[in-house]
Amino acid sequence: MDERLKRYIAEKRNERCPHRVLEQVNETIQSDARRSSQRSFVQWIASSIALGALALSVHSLWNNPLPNPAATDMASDKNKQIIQETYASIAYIGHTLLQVGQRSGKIIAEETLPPLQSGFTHTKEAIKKDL
Amino acid sequence: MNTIRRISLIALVIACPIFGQAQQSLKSDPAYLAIDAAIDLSTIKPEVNVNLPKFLLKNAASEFNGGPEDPFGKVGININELIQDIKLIRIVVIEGNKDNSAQIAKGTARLRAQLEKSWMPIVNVPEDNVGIYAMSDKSGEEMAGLALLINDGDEAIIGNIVGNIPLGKVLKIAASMGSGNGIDIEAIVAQFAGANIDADGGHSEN
Repeated sequence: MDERLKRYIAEKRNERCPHRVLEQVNETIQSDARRSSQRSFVQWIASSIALGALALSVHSLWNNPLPNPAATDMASDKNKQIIQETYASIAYIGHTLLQVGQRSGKIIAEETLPPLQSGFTHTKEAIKKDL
Repeated sequence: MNTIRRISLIALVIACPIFGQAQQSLKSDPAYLAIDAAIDLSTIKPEVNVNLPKFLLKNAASEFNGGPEDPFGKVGININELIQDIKLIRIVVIEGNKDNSAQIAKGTARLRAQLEKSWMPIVNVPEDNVGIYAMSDKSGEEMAGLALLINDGDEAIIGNIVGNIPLGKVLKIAASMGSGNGIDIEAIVAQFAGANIDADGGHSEN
């Protein structure tokens, strides 16, 4: 073999990868590993949430298999009753107000005004007489 | 685990008074008429006992507002707007008889004293033992409550609305019921439902 070629091979055998390149490769490997572990954590969280939601749905379906039309109707009837009672209560208070107002007006017209009127007539007659 | 248990316990201790406070705050409202304190409704059974706190009103209004079964809508009143400032609607009708008349008279006298002391009479017919009272809020511009007290011996009717209710709308609703000589509240409530709402805000069938 050519002497020069032998020397070249020996040189190449002893040659080492530069320290800087080794560090860079090492960092790249570590960062890839970190990213992969983060991704798996996110995946784990997502899977847990999905499983939790599924479990909750199954649980709620188990407890309330189907909307109960009778229960809904009952709640609706109760609300209807509340509305009607509210209306009746307010109407009653309003009606009492009207009635009492009318009664006060009637009392004023029938019991208070005639004596005043007669007093006025009496006074008017007395003044006329004096004149 | 112990920490969680401790936190839950503390949260529970804090939460309990908050839940109780809602009912307590209504009772401490100046416009709240303490009907139950004046008349023992467990011994004197009322014919009508309507007790509608805001949460029931809101719940019902949200379902029926403007719908075909909303009686307020028929007279052009928006129920959500009407109940917006109402905290409680209470009507109690007690039929008088020889056994309870003394207790009713005592109870209504106590309520009347409370009304005369801190409420403003709107209309009073002492001859018929009829009184309608209003209370304004601190600003003096809004109504804080309305109260009605009638005791003609045969029947005692006590009404209390805590909160602001426009009187114009009250009269409009009354006018929509017809112009008969009297409204029989008992008949109306019975016609609508035949149920009482008990004093604690619970709803119970007769």
